[in-house]
Amino acid sequence: MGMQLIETIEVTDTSAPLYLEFANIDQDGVDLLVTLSARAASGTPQYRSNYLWLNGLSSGFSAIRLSGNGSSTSSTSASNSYAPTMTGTSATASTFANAQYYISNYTSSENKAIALDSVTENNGTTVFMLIDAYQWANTDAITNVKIGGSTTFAQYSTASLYKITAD
Amino acid sequence: MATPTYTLIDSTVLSSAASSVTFSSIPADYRDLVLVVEASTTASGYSTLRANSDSGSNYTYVHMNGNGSGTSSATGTASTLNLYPYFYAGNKNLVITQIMDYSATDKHKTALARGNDPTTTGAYAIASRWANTAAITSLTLAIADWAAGSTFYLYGIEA
Repeated sequence: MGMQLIETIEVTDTSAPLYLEFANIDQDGVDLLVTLSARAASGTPQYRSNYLWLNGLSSGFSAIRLSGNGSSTSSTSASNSYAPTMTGTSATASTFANAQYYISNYTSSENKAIALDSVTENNGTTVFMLIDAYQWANTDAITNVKIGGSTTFAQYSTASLYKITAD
Repeated sequence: MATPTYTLIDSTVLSSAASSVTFSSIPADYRDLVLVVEASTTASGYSTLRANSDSGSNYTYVHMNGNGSGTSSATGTASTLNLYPYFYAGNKNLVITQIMDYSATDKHKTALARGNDPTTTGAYAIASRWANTAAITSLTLAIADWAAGSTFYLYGIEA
């Protein structure tokens, strides 16, 4: 009851999957919480290179974002579902980006509201802190959540899906 | 150590517009409270979130905000735990507020809120303090008016 772990996905090897995916999500919760600890399997920090997908779609999103990089802040509007920036292979070993998506009323027949908090840090030299306000203009209940689509995930990246129930 | 978890204390789903939603008789059984509000309003305006019906200027806050074109931050004193700086009529907002040590009687109460209006106000975060050592036993959220369909969930987080 309360907050229940549905599933944790861990990249246990060097297969570098393109997605971390939760399918067939239970429909008996109120809200969903997705936590992410991720590192890209290639390159320099991958700034917003991946996407959040709901029910197989990365379209229908609108967002307003607030970010800070340690020296300045900025805010932008967007019509995509960019996932957080991830550290890459050129970053300090063992540094991973962290993020949390909160998706409210995920089974409702209304458009979905999503809050994203994330931080990416590379040994104090590269920092991105992001908070995003999302709307997904889709009235379908959410049955599938995945993150990825552009940049592959390094070994030891993890994602966990929790449901928050009303019982 | 027990696994921290959310336990639903109470919820309200509005079937018609209402000017306020109150969670009363909040039990002191948990460490923290989490209030999840997904709401729109029938008119634009500021909302209030008051503890134990205290409408005095006993709250302080600092917030930061990004509205898609610029950023801002401010501090101040208010007569409410700032739930949200401003609701624009018809915009759906998701606001998640965590109130720490709400039942303690030896400290002021602090809250962290994350708000989301992807249409106008944008993404924001607010830290606030209620200058009162009383345990929080009720929370009232008010605006003119919360629209039908707005949802309010209050959870307790076990220590």
